Amino acid sequence: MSSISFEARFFDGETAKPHRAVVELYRTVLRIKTDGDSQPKDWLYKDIKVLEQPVPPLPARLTSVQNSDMRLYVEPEDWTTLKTRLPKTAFPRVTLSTNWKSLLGYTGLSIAFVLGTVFLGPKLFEQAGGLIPQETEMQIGKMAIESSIDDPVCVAPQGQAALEKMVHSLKQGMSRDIPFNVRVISDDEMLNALAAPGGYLVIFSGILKNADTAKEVAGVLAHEMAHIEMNHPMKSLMRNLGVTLTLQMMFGDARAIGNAAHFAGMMNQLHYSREDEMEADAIGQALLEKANIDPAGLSLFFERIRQEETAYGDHDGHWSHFEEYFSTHPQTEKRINQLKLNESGSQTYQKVLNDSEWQALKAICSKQTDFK
Amino acid sequence: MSTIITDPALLTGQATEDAQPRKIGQYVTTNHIHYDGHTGQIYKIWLLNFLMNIITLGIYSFWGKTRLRQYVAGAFSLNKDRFEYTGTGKELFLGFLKAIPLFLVLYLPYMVASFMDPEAIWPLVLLVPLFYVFPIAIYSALRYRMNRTNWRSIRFGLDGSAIRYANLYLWRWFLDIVSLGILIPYSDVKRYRYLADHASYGNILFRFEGRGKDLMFIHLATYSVALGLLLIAFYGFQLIAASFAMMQATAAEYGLPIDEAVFFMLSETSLPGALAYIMLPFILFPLVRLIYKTALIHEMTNHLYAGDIGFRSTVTTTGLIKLKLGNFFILMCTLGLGMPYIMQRNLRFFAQHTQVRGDLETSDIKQVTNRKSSDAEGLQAVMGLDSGLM
Repeated sequence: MSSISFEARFFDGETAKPHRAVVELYRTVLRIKTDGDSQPKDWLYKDIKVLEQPVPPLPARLTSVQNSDMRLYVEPEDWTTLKTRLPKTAFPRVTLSTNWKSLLGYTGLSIAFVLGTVFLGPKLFEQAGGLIPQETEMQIGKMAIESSIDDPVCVAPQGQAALEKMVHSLKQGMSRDIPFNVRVISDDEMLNALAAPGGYLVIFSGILKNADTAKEVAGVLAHEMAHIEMNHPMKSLMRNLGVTLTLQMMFGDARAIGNAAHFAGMMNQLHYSREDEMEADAIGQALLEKANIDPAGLSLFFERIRQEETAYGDHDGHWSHFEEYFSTHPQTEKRINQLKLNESGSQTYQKVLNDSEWQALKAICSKQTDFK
Repeated sequence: MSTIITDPALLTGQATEDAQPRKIGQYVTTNHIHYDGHTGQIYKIWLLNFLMNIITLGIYSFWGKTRLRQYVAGAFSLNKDRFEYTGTGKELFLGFLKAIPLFLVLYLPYMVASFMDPEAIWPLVLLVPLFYVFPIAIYSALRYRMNRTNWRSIRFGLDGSAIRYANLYLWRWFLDIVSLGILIPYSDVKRYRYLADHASYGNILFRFEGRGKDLMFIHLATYSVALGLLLIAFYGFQLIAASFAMMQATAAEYGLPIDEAVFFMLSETSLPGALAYIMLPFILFPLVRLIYKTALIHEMTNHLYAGDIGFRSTVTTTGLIKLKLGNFFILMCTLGLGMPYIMQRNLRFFAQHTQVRGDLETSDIKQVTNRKSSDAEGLQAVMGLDSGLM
């Protein structure tokens, strides 16, 4: 009664013995008769799964959902007759093609994806940085500072009071109330200051040593406070995190999820963009203006360092302090010019600190303690 | 070469009546493993996975890995029947998701502690549980892979306990360190024995009868050569230290800038020679140890049995050296893009040098249905242990 039949190889899923089978095709069912077995096996077409289509001379490999251990190997020439009777569901879902044309397409797609992620991903993270609550930000800032500073902290009480007075005056011009926490770290070689999330300000004693007047320190401080007001540290951290995470996920594997844990490790690398620096310069100057402090302090300080370095000469191959400072604060010339443009010059300003306060600040490192 | 005598009566020379009718059984057939995967196809799948991993942030890796495994398994055949891998990307992905919480629970104490006290070293102790998870992950992954591999419709299996394996693994690791490496062959053999003795094909159980003792001589011989090489490297390090000291002294005396000081060190001191002293052992050591590696492969293969079926390896040290050196240079010259080709070389090498001995056709092999099966190899993926090759 069967119209079509052919020979095939059959494994019953119970023993490893290969069977020679005769396959008969009926309207809804495929019947498998094996040499030894008296009981033929019927596979409904709708139950059949094609595990592999034939790649001549290799046969097609089939199974049935009724017993997925069974295997039927159909020769390529018989496959064509069987193939037409199988429903669409029998065939494996379309897998991604590996021909060279589609591979080229995927290459283009992944390059576009990488470029897109590299440019957009960090931006998104940066935006998310603005949504982090103040409390969390303070914790992160604390960790950042603690993990990046080894030197002792300067704690002479009068000096600290003078410093806080300076911060307090500058704070008046700010739109939001940030609980600043300011510290001087004893490192005379370090001509730098930094701001961490949550209002943490750090000034290295190298700045106090090199500054001639209090307004220069006020200039540096105002710049760092402006970074904090504009949320630059958090944004920068998030941007770094974004870059690292996306790159790791793209080129590593899912492990990157665990690497989010190394957030704190990236804290040392606070780098601001050129735009951020210019913005902090401008807002810092505005803060100085509002506090009635001479806004020329910052540019004065910049210029002095530069002059000193040139006079001192860096022909001995040493990495100059100037360069060191500006490796993290780029675009000096442009910035000095921009700063000067905003300085009105004619106005008379209030003194930031009186002479005794200034002397106390300069001597803040006369008393030191461990940072932690 | 292609025959081994299994009948003890024939070995002792006492031909008994019993031996007469079993003439065919005296000679064991040698079945070669064939591998006919195309380098081009492997390359295409690898490339597709690489690109898709970029686009999907690595999520595709589970499906990509599955596709590669399916292809590779299908390219292996024994007695003209192909192996089959039935694992799915979905299983791998779900296994991965399940393993994440466990991993986090184990990793969290260390994270918290190192946040609290970033300078302290003691939090590293909290990472010890992760060492324990490492062999567990290896074992579970192997169990999954074997469960999802079949030949002639019969599945492979791996019983035993991943935790017991981990205990053994770490204990042997500890002994290796305490014995300064002398016990390595025993550890290699014992770890392998646990795996082999719990492996199965249908109702046929594998068993391993190799001994660490067999490997001791080769191990100690190559190991002492290695120690000698270490001394040479040590001498090299001393030379380097001396060169640095000399450079510093000279630079301080004449006030040399850094570039001139480095030039001085390269031209006037024994630094270049010292580098050779260090490089030489680093190149020679792995090559010498390949002699041991060859012996280990022989021990692992030639003493492995599955019922009355045996295995034989024809790997030679020179073959292994050629393979590894070739792989190394391909990797270096192609900056990792030659990876699929390296994989292909390894697979071909394995197939070429492994024989299955015994009558596969008449052995009574039955499927076993209630075998221990693992979900998937999630832990391995979370820990990033899988090399992503197979």
